[in-house]
Amino acid sequence: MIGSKMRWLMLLLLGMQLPQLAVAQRKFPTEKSAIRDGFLFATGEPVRIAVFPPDSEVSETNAAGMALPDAKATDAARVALIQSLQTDPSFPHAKWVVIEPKAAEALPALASQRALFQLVVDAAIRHRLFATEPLPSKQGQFQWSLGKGMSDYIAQTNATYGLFIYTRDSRNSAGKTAMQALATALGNRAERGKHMGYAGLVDLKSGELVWLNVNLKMSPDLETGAGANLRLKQLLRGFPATNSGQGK
Amino acid sequence: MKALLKLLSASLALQVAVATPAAAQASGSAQKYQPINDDERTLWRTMDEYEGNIRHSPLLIADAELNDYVRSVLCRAVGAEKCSAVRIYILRTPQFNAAMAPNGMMVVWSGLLLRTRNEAELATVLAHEFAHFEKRHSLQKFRDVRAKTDAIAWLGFVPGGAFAQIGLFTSVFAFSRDMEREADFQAVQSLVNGGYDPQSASEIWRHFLAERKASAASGKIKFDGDIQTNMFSSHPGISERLEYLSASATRLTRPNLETGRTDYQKAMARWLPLFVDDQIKLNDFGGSEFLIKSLAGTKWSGASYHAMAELFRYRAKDGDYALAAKYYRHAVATDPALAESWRGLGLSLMRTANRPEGIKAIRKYLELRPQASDAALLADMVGSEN
Amino acid sequence: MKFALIAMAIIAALLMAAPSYAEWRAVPADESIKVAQDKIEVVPNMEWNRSTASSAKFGETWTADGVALNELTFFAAVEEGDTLYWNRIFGSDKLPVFKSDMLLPEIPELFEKSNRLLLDTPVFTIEKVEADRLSGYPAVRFSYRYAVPDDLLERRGEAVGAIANGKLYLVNFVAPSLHYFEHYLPSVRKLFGSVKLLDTKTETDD
Repeated sequence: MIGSKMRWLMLLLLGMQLPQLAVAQRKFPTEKSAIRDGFLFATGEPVRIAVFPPDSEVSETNAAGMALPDAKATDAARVALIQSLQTDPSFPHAKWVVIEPKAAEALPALASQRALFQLVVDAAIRHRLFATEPLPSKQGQFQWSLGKGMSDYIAQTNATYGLFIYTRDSRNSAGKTAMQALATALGNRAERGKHMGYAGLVDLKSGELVWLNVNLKMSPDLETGAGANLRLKQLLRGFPATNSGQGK
Repeated sequence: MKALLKLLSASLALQVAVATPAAAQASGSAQKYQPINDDERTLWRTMDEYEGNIRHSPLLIADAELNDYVRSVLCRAVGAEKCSAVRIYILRTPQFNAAMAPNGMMVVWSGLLLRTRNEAELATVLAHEFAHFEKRHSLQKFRDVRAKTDAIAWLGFVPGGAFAQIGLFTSVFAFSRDMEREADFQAVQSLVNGGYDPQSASEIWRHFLAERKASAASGKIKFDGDIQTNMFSSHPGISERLEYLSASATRLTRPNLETGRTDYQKAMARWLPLFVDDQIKLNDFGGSEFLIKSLAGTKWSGASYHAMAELFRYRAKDGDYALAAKYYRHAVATDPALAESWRGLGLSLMRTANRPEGIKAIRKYLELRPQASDAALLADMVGSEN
Repeated sequence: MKFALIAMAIIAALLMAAPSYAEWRAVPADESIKVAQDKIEVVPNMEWNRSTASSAKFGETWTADGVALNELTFFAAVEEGDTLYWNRIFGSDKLPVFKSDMLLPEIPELFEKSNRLLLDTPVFTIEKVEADRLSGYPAVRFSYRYAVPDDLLERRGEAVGAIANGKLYLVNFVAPSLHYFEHYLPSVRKLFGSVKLLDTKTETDD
C-alpha cells in the first residue's frame, strides 16, 4: 500500500529501530512449538523423512542495522546443519532422506511450496503460536496445510514426511558493537546479534503441517560444528516421537 | 522488485533466496569479470541469490525472441566479448528503468522498451548500465554506503540527529554524479563503436523530459523544471546532461551511423499493446497520452486509436466517454477486426446515452470474439434489445 | 523538503507507537451474520474470523487461516466518487473512483485498476466475467489472478459485485493459487449465494 521508495525507506528506518523493538519483544516468550493433537509416528521401521535444503542465511549487521550477507558463513551453516542432522543420535525413529540443493532444483514447484510454507509459518506464529493476533477459529486443533501439491515429492524421495528448516543469523559488526556499548552506557539494553529459526514437519500425502517449532533466540555460531549441533537440537526440540515413546 | 532495482544500483541486499547461479546465459569469457576481494564476493553472492529468485519471478518475460533481440542490441554496442559477461532479465514493469548488478545480471523493465524509440536509444541505456558494471561502480558505492550507514546510526544518538540522518540517507542509494558522467560518456562511445547514431543518447532524455512535463500537466507528478524522479534523482541534471551528451556525440559522430528504428519497431510490434495497456492502467493520464501519441507518430494505427480511447474511457471524466467513442470509431474504421475496440465503443456509447448504437457495437464484439471471457455477461446485457 | 518531513514523521511514529494489531472475532458456521456496518448479511457454511480493521474503505475483512492465505473482503455501499481502498498515504497514485452509472462490465475493470495500483503490479488478469445475481440485483461475477514483485506465489481470486441504488456492493475472495484458492472456493461460492443486501430500497427496474 506504500510506494516502493517509501517501503524501502521504511525498511531501512525499521532496521535502525530494531534494537528498541528487540527490547520491547523481551516481554514475550521467545520459543514456541505446536503439534497436531496426539500426533505420533508409527513404531517399527524408521519413518522416511525428506529433508529439504535448509533455508539458512548468516549475515553481519552494521551499526545502522543493515544486514550484509556473509557468503562463506552461509555456505558453512547449510552444510553444518545437515551434517548435525545426519549424525545426531536422538532421532533413531527417523530415516533422513537428505535432498541435495542440486536435486532440490529438479523438484517441481519447490520454490513455490517453500514460499507457501513461509506464509503458513508466519500465520501460525501470529495467529496461534505467539498469538499477537489470535484467530478464534485457530485456537483448537493445530491445523494448517500446504495442500496436496506436497504429495508430488513422494515419488522422488519415497518419504512419508518432509522437513523444512529455516534459520537467520546476524552477527554484529565492530561498529555496531561499539555503538551498543554506548547504548548500554546510556541505559538501553543491547542485543548481541540475531539468531532465529524454525523447523516444520509436513505430511507429504495430505500436505498437513503436523509439527512446528519456532525459536527467536537461538544459540550463535551456526557455521561451526558444535554451534550447528546445538542449533539442531534447538530446532528439533519437541520433534514428534513414536507411539512407543521413542524419540522422547 | 522496484526496491530491488534501487538496491541493484546501490548494491546492498535484504533479499534472500536459495543460491542458484544462472547457468543458462553464462559463458567462459565472463572470467574477466570476477570478484576481486571479500567485499566484492559478498556483493556477488547477494546478487547471485537474488538472480536465483528473479528467474522464478512472475514478472519475468521469458520470451526467447524478445530476450535475444534486446541482447543483440547490447552486444552490438559493447561488443560480443564484453556482452558475454552479461545475463539479461526483462521484467514486466511499466516504469522507465534498467540496472546492472556487479555479478553480471542486467535487469531491463518493459517500461524502458516502451519508451525507447529505436535501437540506438535502447543501446544508450544498456551501455550506460554496462559501464557502471565494467567500472565496478557498485563496489565503490558499497564501501561508501557501509561507511555512511554506520555514520547514520551514530548520528541517531545525537538529539535532533534525524535531520542529519535524512541528509545522508538521500545520498546513500545512488551512484555519484562522476560515476554517472563516466557511464554516460562510455555509452556514447559504445554507440559509435556499434554503428549507432550517438545523438540518440541525448534524444532519449529529451523524450523522457517531455513525458514528465506531460505527466505533470495532468497532475500526476510535480514537475520542478529539472529531472527529479525516484530513479534518476541521482543522475546529473537533465539539462546539463543533454548538453554534454550532445556535445560528445557531435565530437564522436562519423558517417554511416544509424538509429535502427525499423528493426526496433518490428521487434516491439508484438509487445507494444501489452506494454501500452500496462502504462494506461498506471492512471497517469498525461504521461500515457504523451507516450501513445509519440508511438503513433504521424500515421495513426488502429492500435494507437484504441489506446487513446481506453485512456479516455478509464479516466471517465465529464466528456471523456464521448472522446473515447470518437477514438474507438477511428480504431474500428482503421481496423474493423479490433474486437476490443468494438467492446469499448459499445460501453462508451451506452454511457453517453446512446444505447441502441452501443448495443450494435457490443454485438459486433460478440460476433468477433464469441469466446471472450466476458461474452456471457455482455450477451446478457444487450439481450434481445434492438 | 517534503521527503524529509515524511521520513521524520515515520521515525517519530516508530519511536512512539507501540505495535498495534488488528483484532479478530469469531464468525460461527451456519448462522446468519451481519457484516460491514450491518449493510450486508451472509450465512457462511464454515468458521471464519472477522477483523476490526480492513483494507477496504467501506467494508470488512475475514480470514480462515490468516489474510496472506485467504482473505474475504466485503465492500459495502461504496458511494459515487469513492475509491475501493484507502488511497495511499503518500505517493501520487490516485485510485480510480466508482461512478453510480457504471455498467456491470466496468466493475471488474474498476477492481483490476484499483488492485494494480494498490499492489504495485502489472501482472493482474481478469479471467472469467459472468452475469450473476446478488441478493436479487443484477450482478457480475468474475475470477482473476495476479502476482506481485518479490513474491513467487501467484494469487487467484473470485468476486461478485452489484450496483444497488447507486451504490457498489462487492464481495471478494483471494488466496494463493497453491492449495488455498481451490480449497475454500466451494464455501466461498455458497457464501456469495447467501448474500443479502440490507439497507437498500426495493430494486428498481433493470
